[in-house]
Amino acid sequence: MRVVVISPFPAERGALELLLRDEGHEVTSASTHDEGLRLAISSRPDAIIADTQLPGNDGLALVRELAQHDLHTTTILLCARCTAPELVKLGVICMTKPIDVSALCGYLARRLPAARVA
Amino acid sequence: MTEAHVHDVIDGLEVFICGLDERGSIVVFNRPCEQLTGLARERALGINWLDLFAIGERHDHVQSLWAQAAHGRPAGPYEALCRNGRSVRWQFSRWDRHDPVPIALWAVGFDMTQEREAMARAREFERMVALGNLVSGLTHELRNPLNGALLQLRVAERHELRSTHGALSTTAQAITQATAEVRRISMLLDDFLVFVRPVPVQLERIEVRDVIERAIDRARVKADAASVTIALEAGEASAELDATRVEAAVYHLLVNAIDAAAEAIEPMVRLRLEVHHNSIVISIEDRGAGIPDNNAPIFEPFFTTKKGGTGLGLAIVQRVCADLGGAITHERRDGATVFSLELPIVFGAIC
Repeated sequence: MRVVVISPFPAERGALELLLRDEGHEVTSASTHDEGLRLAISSRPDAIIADTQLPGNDGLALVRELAQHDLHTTTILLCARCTAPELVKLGVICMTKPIDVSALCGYLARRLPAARVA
Repeated sequence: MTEAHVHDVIDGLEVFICGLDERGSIVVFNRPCEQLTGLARERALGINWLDLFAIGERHDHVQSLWAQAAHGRPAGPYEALCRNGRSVRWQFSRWDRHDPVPIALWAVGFDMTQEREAMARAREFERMVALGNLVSGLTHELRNPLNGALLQLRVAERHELRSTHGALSTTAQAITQATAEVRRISMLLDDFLVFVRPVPVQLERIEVRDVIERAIDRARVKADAASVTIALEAGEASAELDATRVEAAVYHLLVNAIDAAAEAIEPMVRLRLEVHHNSIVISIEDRGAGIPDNNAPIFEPFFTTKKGGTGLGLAIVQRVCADLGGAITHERRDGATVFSLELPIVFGAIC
């Protein structure tokens, strides 16, 4: 399914794109908050994986803005340190870095329909 | 006023008092000075004040203070260490009377030792907090390139396995090893952060069983992977403790026990909670091989006998004990290794 990856770190962004495509997902990516928001609004993905440290604004602000645009997409935030209780209230999944890629892929496979299992 | 009267007055004060003649020789020496220097009054008389109280210091500075005092202006403060390591702050003032004893200057000293020690401790604590904050900041920043590296290694591993049709080539093995090494960096950072950051102790009323269960949850994945079962015997008990610290200590003891139990015939770890009238004891038991060398410094940071271990687990446990006024002991009995964590409780536990 359609996944948008938003991360300012090229190694992280590039690897996630490749690994998720391997799992059969259609992946596009952005490196800033604004770019990511535009991409999410235009492509209406099934899932968004975003870093909490984004140039322009933080991952938490992104989640709130997505909700304002009526985009209640499965959102996974990648954090160096996940402490905001507000994230739990917003129904957001947090993964602390370095992330467990198998756990991420497993989560997406369970949440999103018809992903090809590699 | 006789000399005896003078001594009666100055001996009872909690300050150091010396009367000096024009050359700076001691002509009056009160009892606190005797106690400070270990010299009886009779032995001190005639000794130059500089030779007793300004050892290794620049005498010209003191002498200029004396000259200032001789002109009628109280001079000081002057602070120096005594032979026995106590820090004394002196002030000097002129004395015009020559009876009952020919005194040119009074030197009055205050013991600053405790104040200096408290200031040194506060500075050290501030330094540790600043260092802890730096380490914390660094650790969090490091998580980003660590994540990038591990993800890219995963991409490389998949690509290699695909091209060799699943066979473990030299390249694939190298990628696996590199991944393990990068994961170890990450674990070291996690443990080091816990160890080095002085977070203030936060006491709150907690259900001890809940805290132990949280530690077990954290270790569940590891236990399942090693096929080790975890059994908990604990009744209801609430106590005022720092939940985060207790959980960290139990978690690290549990991780060690799981590693040991994984090699055992009976792969099981047993946790027990006992409540005594003013302490709780959490014991973690495994039937593994035990600690190989009784003299090994197992609580020292970075000491580890495990391949891939960070060596900080038991150091963290010991730190928690120090922070909470508890104790960690271990023994081998009936083929089992038992670590016991004893923690004082502020009010009575309710079972």
